[in-house]
Amino acid sequence: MRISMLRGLEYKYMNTFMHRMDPRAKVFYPIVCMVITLLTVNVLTLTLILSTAILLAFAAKTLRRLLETLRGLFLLTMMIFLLNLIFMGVERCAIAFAYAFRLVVLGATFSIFFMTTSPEDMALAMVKVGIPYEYALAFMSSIRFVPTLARDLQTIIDAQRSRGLELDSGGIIQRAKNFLPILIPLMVFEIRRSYRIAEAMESRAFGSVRKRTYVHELRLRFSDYVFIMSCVIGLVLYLFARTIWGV
Amino acid sequence: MRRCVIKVKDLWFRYEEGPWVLKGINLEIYEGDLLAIMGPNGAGKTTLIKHFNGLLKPVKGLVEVMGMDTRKVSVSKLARYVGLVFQNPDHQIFAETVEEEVAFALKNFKFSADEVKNRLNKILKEMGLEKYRRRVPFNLSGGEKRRVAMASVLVYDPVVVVFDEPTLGQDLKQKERLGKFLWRLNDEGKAIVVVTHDVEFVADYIDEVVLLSDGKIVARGRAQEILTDRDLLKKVRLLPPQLAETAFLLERTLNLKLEGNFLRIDGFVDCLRRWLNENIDAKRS
Amino acid sequence: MKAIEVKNLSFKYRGADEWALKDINLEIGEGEFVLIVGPTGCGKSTLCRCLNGLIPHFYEGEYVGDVYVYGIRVRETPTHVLARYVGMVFQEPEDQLIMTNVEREVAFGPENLGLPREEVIRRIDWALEVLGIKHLRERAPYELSGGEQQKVAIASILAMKPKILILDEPTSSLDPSSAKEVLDLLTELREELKVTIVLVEHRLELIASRVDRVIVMDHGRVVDDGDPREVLIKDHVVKLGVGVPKVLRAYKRLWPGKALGRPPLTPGEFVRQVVNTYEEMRDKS
Repeated sequence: MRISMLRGLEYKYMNTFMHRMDPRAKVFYPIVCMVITLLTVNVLTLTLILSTAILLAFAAKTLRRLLETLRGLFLLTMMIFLLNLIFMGVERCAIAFAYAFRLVVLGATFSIFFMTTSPEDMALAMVKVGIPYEYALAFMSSIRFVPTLARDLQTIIDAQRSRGLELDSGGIIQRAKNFLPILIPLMVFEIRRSYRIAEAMESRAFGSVRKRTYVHELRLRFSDYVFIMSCVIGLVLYLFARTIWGV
Repeated sequence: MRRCVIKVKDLWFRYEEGPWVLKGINLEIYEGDLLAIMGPNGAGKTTLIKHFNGLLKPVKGLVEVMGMDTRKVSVSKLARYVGLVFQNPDHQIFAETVEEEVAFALKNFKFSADEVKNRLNKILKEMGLEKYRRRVPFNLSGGEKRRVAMASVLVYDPVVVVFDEPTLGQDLKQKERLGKFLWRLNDEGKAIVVVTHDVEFVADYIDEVVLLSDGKIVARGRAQEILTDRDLLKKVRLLPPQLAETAFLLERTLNLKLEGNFLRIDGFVDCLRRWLNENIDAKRS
Repeated sequence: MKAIEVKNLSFKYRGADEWALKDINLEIGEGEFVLIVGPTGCGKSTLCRCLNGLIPHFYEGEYVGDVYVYGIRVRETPTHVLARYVGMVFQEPEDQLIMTNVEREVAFGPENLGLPREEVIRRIDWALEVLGIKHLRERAPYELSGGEQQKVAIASILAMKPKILILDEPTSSLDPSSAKEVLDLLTELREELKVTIVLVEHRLELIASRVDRVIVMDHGRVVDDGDPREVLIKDHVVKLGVGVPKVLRAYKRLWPGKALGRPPLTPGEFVRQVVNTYEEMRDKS
């Protein structure tokens, strides 16, 4: 599990139609895909969905990062494939492969969403949907701080290895114990950091007036509705195909 | 004959497929060296020191520690010789007692129980941490935590000790204590490497300076030479130490050239007093 | 009305053994530029947090005495109301910048105040302009250098148009050039905006000559308060560990006890002293 896998979740500003789309419309895509993915074990269907993800990624100029993420997921996918093979028997190879493939498809479709939606827009969308700002902000912050956390984690690992900690030796129990000198400082550090962030936010009148201003507005446009419709139609078509051909 | 403890030969490094961070570094560090690695943020200072104990391996070129090729040896083995004290002690403190925290490295390096006990007692006493022995390290003050972090590296007696920005946020007295402590370690024969921006600290306590900019070494020399070279410092976004700046202005306005080591207050005062006496007496006569 | 009045203020953090602040009495007038110095742990940061309400509203403990900001009693006023009058910039940019976009970051404060949308937009434009960072508007804060990040942090506080600006060691994590930029900018802001500034800073050589007043703290008390040149020249201040500029210390050694013009805080001022002395002596002979 490499840190590069996380890049597939990282937002970067670019001017493409996917980036500009209202998150409330955009989210239909991964949700519809998720529903279809979990209903099917047909490899063809899954491939079709994956190709929509690749097409969208291309349109959103995030194809390279998507492929990197998928490459990172590869190991996990292989593991699931082998496990399923063992448990279900070699004859059900296609289904075992489908189960593993599902993971790739889910990863790809959600990745498109996260790569093209800024955490702030996600928070705004949540507020528009009725979620209180505090929760939306908390959600957004957790995304924003992932790279920061990753950096701290790396520093801690470096510091402990510099004192002789060996992370890849010993049996399972020893390896688990070896993670304590990494997890403990990380948790303490991030908890303390969260206090510092909280006091900075307090100092910026967070929690002040009941009616907070929002400079950036989310407005659903015609193209957004078209996108939503397309996703819904896609779902309906699939359900149709499912009843007829059992895909 | 002093041993060469770290030899860096034409080191090139980059992270995965990114831009080159280190571009052909050549550096030799000997026992007893007391040197500062300075340069702007992003010059590659921290990246360079991570090669000293094998945390990072060269993409091109070679790094040898005590004669060992860092690509062929584990970090654990290299760390035995090169101690790295990180900037923020909170990035490593994890134990329930100061004792346990300081002994961590010893346990990792598989020292015998007796050795652990002896070394622990020695370092705690030397660093004035004896009374904090059973305390919870998380609750100590910043300065105390820093001492614990240092103790946890010095306890196993590395040949080279590298400090990453040890003076951040410290007041003058703390820096004085740190500087003198570095001198003591250096007197014991250790090679001391300090990564820092703090020109005043380097002016006061460090012998040699290596200037790093954009992944390359742009200069190496005695602190007195390097820190008085205004053009060089400007290139690496460092401000000259106050007394160096003063000396420069004195030269420009009064044609007053200070000789000797004037970066430290004592030296500066002596040099200036000497000049004033010589020249004013000369004027009088 | 004074901008800040502190009356018999004492504070002890919950669970602490010692009082962090002991009987502080201070007044700061509107538009003053005050520098607070002192050794680590003297209570500088604690005092800052008492001025914007973080103490006692965010930090619990025993609170004795009172703080008034433009006549408003801090003890009884929630932090978000005080935030309209007092803005605070912290040491670590990473802990202050919570958005992934500079524009939104600067918008956060004014948005929280519930100001009309057009007003918020005006303030964002203004704050970015004043700090000279309009070109960073669409950038992600984590891509920026430390200096740029702190400028974004300052902009996001200024956008709330506070009358008092408190900065707690804002340059500690910056390299010297960036530190100078930020402090120079602060001085400009002070001229343009006439805000009251309370600055906690160790790097006196970069700023001491431009402040109105220096307050020295030690062990929770104010031990000195006054004009920078009168305060910093005192022996006990250096002994405390305050980073008194080296030129001032050199000046004291060269001309002890003599009232030789203004004590210098910068190389330029020092050189002028030497020129005066030199000319004096030359004229005498």
